[in-house]
Amino acid sequence: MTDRTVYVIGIDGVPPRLLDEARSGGFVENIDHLKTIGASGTTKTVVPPLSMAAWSSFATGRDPGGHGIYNFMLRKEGSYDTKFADGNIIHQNSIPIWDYLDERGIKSGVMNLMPGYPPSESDGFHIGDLVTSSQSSEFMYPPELKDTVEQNVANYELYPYSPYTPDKSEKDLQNYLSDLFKMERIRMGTGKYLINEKDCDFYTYVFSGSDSILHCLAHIRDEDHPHHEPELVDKYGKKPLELLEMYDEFIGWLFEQSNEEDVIMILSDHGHSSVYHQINLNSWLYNNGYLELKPGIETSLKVVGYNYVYDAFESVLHKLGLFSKLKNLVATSDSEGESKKSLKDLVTISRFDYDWDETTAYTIASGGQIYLNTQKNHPLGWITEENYDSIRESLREELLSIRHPDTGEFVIDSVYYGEEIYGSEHSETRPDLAALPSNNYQIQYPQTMKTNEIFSTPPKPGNHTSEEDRNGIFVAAGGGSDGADVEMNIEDFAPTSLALLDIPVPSSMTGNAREDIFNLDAESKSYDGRVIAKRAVRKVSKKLRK
Amino acid sequence: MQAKEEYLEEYDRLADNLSGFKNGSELMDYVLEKTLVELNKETDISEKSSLNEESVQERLQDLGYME
Ligand SMILES: [Zn+2]
Repeated sequence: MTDRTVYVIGIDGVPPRLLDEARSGGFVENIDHLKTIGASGTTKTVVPPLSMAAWSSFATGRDPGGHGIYNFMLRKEGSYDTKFADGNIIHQNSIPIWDYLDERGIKSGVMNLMPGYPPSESDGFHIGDLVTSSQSSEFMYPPELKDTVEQNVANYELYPYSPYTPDKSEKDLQNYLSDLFKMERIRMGTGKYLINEKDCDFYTYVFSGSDSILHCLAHIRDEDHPHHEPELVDKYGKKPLELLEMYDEFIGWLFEQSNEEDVIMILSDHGHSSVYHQINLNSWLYNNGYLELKPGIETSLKVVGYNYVYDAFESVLHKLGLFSKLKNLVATSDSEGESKKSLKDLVTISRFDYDWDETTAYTIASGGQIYLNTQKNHPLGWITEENYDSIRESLREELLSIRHPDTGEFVIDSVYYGEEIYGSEHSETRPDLAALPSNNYQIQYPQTMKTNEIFSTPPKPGNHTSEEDRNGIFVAAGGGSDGADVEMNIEDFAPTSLALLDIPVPSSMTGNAREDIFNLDAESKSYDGRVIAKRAVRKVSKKLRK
Repeated sequence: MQAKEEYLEEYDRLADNLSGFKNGSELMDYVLEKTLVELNKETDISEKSSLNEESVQERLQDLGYME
């Protein structure tokens, strides 16, 4: 065992070009310094480049097929129902790095890493992420940590801001920025406090303000954006760089207090770009004969109801604060949830209206992943092994030929086969195709479908779903790190961190301990069973203590 | 509720096929009214999972991932 501490700092959603801009503008002197003494380059992330799947691959050292977290929304095995990704699922499906460390008696400290709720109970501390945790839930482990942080740092608020969109006022923008920066200052303070107080050998913190600010301010920085607000450029155009400057202060502090054995790695889980246009994939599948709705008067009522009447009373729902409630009911209810059916039956077209006997392909989440209705993995699937390839191939070709009606541009840039990008450990719920949009396009899955609306305006000016957005940043110092323009894979961080701590790399990890970037002597070993046994022990002991 | 004129025809046609509705605009009002009643009911969405799904949903909407 070494005296080394490994720090991995995630700055969510930062594209390499933004870091370059920050460097040339003098916003990130500390990161710049690490770059000169260590290694730098890019981090290649998962398909599609979405945080939930990316951070899961980061934590487990496996591609999404290895942990089954393909997206924020997941398909339930052998069913058409869906569920949100959460901390339980990643632990059930796979083994994150902190469990391997825990098995070796090594403490780890984790803050704001998706999916972080419920927080892991491995040795050290674990603070849940801002998507899966809610303020009233017990999102910190150990539970008393919440009070400790509040007494010594500040009240840790998971989500204290209301995101800015172009339809809001400048005052709203100011409030958003002030709340966001304050949230990040408290996260940094919490992170520093816990590094000082807890004796962990591995820390991983994710700062997500960068992702939010790029979602919300993309149109201010991009003068070609259809929603560009030129009058805001001078005052707010540099805000993302100022946020990086704030993170840079934290990196500087980290470097100051570290010793020469220690290793600091900085990454982002994906890039970010402006989005101008959106394709609603379920509506496209419907209009192109891949997705069928149930025949009969009830469904036709809804087709009319949702497409037309719904537009008319959407504003009423908004006023009554009921709009998000409706969407939530549709997003999360199961087909068994009889009590909820009446509402959905009245107004919305959702997956409950699909005619599964006639449906060829469907999607359950944004990001371009498509499932074929196969006999093998679906209750009412009809696609057999014999016709699978030809159906998939013709769908793939059709996707690649979609053009936007206004711009004439190709909407989809590439379509991957599921087995090409995802391992087979969770193949029962593995998407059959994954389409990535062209630059400035977004592939969306509205929970409720307007059958006549294939193309629409994206809900946020910035997003990350294209091939280009698969590139994040990478900077490292310590551990013999060396090299410019190196390419880390998001799955490499866990095995590399383990090897840096002189711990064998589990053979179940698909990522690599990067001996070409760090000074490592990585040993590969199969020991997942030990981790599973340790978990069982922890569970039983907990019961006994009660 | 102001329904768009051109869609009333569609509703009228549907109303003809559904017993109990005088016309399309009655059907339209009915759909709206029942929706509001349903939406106002307390729901049990968080019962099945420890995850606060309403909160997850809101965060994902804020990220432009869901709408
Ligand atoms: Zn992200």
